[in-house]
Amino acid sequence: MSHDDPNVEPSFEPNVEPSFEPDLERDLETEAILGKALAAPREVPPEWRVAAQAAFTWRTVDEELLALVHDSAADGVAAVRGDAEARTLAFSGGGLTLEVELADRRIQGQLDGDAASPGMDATGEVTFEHVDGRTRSATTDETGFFTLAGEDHGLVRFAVRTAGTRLVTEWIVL
Amino acid sequence: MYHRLVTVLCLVVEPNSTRALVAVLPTRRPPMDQPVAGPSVAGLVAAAREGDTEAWDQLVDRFLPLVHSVVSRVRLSAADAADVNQTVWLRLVEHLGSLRQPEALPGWLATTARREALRAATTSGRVVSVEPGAHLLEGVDDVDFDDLLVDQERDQAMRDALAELPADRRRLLELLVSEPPTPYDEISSILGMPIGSIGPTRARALAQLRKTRAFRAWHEATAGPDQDGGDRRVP
Repeated sequence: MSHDDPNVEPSFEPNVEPSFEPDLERDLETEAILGKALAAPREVPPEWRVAAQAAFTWRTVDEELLALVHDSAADGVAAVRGDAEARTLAFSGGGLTLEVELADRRIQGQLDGDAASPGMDATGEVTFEHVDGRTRSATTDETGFFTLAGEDHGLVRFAVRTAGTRLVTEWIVL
Repeated sequence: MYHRLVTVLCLVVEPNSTRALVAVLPTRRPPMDQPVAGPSVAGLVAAAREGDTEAWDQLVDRFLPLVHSVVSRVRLSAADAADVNQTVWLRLVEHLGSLRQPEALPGWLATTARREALRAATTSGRVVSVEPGAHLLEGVDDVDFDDLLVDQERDQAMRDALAELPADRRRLLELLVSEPPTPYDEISSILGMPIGSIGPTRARALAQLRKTRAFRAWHEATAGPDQDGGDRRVP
């Protein structure tokens, strides 16, 4: 085939034989699956795309992750008790645990070394980060306790700076 | 080959030069309006790990329809569903560096989307149930879930196949399969093409689409190889 001719027009069809025979039935099938494929992205709300793209701005390098190990909202207990205002969360990672309780328009929490790292320095600064960019910070006392004022909804996480390292929790939805 | 090249190069270059590299490579593609299918998923993940925003945006474009279809299977308010979507992508950002098999990303995203959607359904406070999530699992059983991944693969293959066509053919097919379908006289004026040419050009464009690399790869993977792209009823 003479593909290397630089003067070939864009509409030149190297793939279609001169003895081209349309296949009406297959054409309809191909059109149908192509139509579905092109419709799928159109069904996604535009703001989902914006949010998905924006998530990348939260990319961090070499930050230790504190994984969610307990969420009272997930076990349904709070709802059954009718105590829907209080929510307790626990995170663990990098030798640390972080426990927080969200109630009465404030967040109370404690940093601690995990079972494997009992002597760990668990004091420092805890920052509450909202995905929209707002942050609030508190410094722990010498036993790792801290309190953050205010209430929030949406996607949030905690960042912990202790002994020169920064850890972040998984994102959670409040 | 091109995909592998991107993957390998991204591993060895400095983080800051990745974007430039990825931006430059497409110009080495086959001539004119005939782009090969975009970088592989593994290549995009590798580039995104190095901070390449464009690679991330391509991952989003590829897999957003999948995440959307998984989340849509769970009954959630629009706001909760949007939160789930955001959570899924933030999870991916967190785990970009630790994904063992980047090519398994579709499965990872679908699983994460389903888990987060069910979690949202049980924690939103709207659902109070002794067995949280029990009735919500309707419509997200394993069979459906596998079907979603198969559909997503087919849809992506079709979009990749379309991207392999010359721009004028691509545009014609887009107009023909639009919803609602574009009338021939409108297509004629949009593309500057005589109405009488639309039918024959459509047939040739569809035949060409079936001969693209992306279409053949998908077809061989689903129907087994045969000579002409196969005549098994295309699902």
